[in-house]
Amino acid sequence: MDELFNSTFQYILLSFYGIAVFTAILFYGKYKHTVLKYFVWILIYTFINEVSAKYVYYWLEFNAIMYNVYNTVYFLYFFYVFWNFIKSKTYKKWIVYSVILFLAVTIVNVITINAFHESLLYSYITGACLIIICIILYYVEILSDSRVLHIKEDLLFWISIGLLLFYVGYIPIKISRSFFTTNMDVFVTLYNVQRALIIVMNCCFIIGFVWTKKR
Amino acid sequence: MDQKEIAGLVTVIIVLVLVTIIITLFTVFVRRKNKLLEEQERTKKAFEKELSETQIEIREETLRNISWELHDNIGQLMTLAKIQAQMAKNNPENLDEVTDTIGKGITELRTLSKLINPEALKSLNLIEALNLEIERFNRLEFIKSTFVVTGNQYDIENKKGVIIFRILQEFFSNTIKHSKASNLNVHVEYKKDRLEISAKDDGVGFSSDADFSGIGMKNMKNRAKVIGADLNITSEKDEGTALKLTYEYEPNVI
Repeated sequence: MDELFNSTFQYILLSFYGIAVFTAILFYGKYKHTVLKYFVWILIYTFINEVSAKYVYYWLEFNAIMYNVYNTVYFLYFFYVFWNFIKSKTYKKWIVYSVILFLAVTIVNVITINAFHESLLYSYITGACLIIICIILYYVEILSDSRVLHIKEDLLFWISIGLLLFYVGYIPIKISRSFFTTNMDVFVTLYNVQRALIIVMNCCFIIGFVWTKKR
Repeated sequence: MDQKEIAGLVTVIIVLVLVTIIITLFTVFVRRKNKLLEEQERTKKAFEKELSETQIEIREETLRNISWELHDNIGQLMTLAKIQAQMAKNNPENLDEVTDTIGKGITELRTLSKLINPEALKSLNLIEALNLEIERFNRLEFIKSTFVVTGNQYDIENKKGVIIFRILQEFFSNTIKHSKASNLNVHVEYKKDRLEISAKDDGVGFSSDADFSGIGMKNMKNRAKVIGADLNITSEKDEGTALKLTYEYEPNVI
């Protein structure tokens, strides 16, 4: 029963990734003039990564490197997006510092562990926290000007809501899984929470693609 | 605490935190949005109020101008015609002069009636309206004025044009009434991103700060603010007064 639930949930999860990619391509015309046009490639990359990671694991018995590379690319892309969208010079500077900090932590992390077999935990947590900060900066900025009036039609707003909810929920899971677990079975609950978070995040992306209006 | 409990606890905390975030974000964004909407509504109302006041003032000014013109120009011509006609009683060969004078009067009358036709007034743009004003000054010999327009004309929203016109009209009438100036130069410059209007007279000017804060001046400043323009008036004793108005094209939608 658990096994069935597990695999069904897995397929539902993948289908949400798929729907996100599908809507992103369908409504590409609405946002192709912004830097978010690369987001569709990121989503396709996510989908391929998720699908293939499983097979790579069966084949090589490790796939941590795939996620390590993927996460680094993902974080760097979003730093770039927020750097691009935020207008305030001070905030832009902070984002540049964030990128430097993130890269430094990543490099140290890569040196200290075997990045092929283990996930870059410190790099991930730093990246996720910094992205949350970028999102907050972005919100502070849109709250202070007239962009807030058309917030529902703002694609980046929805993307950042999705990311914010996901990272705020996922960081404690990631930490508790690395520090407390010895027995994976116990953490099935947390794994399901993680999957629910991914679904919520993808829903936000999908809403964003559907509701966004060309500016 | 065993691992299962930790897992449960973490799950509960995560769900709680996420719900809090969603509620907070929702409240903050909705509040902020409402506040902005209210602000916009207020600005719009202030703009409409200024606009209607401006229109009333322009109408009053127009009536004053008509009365002036009837009295100073056409009235004079008619008086002259009357005198000439009386003189022509004795020597009828002078009747031609009378005809001439009456003809002039008719031309002036036509010009005036064309000018004050409300339909014509409504369809005027800023430049045409300013041009008429300057022409009138020269015709009635109130003051020697020049008017120069440079750059590519940009269509400014009619309502804003009306307010800009009124600001300048107020400046002109101050010049004519108080400055004792003999020259008035107006320059309208359409730049790539903004409109710059400068007007300068060579009258007595004023130096005291009290004059700067007169009601007329306050009105002008206030109106400039309502349309988002920058207004600067400088004056030096015995040197004259200068006005500089800068209006950036359509910065926000009102």
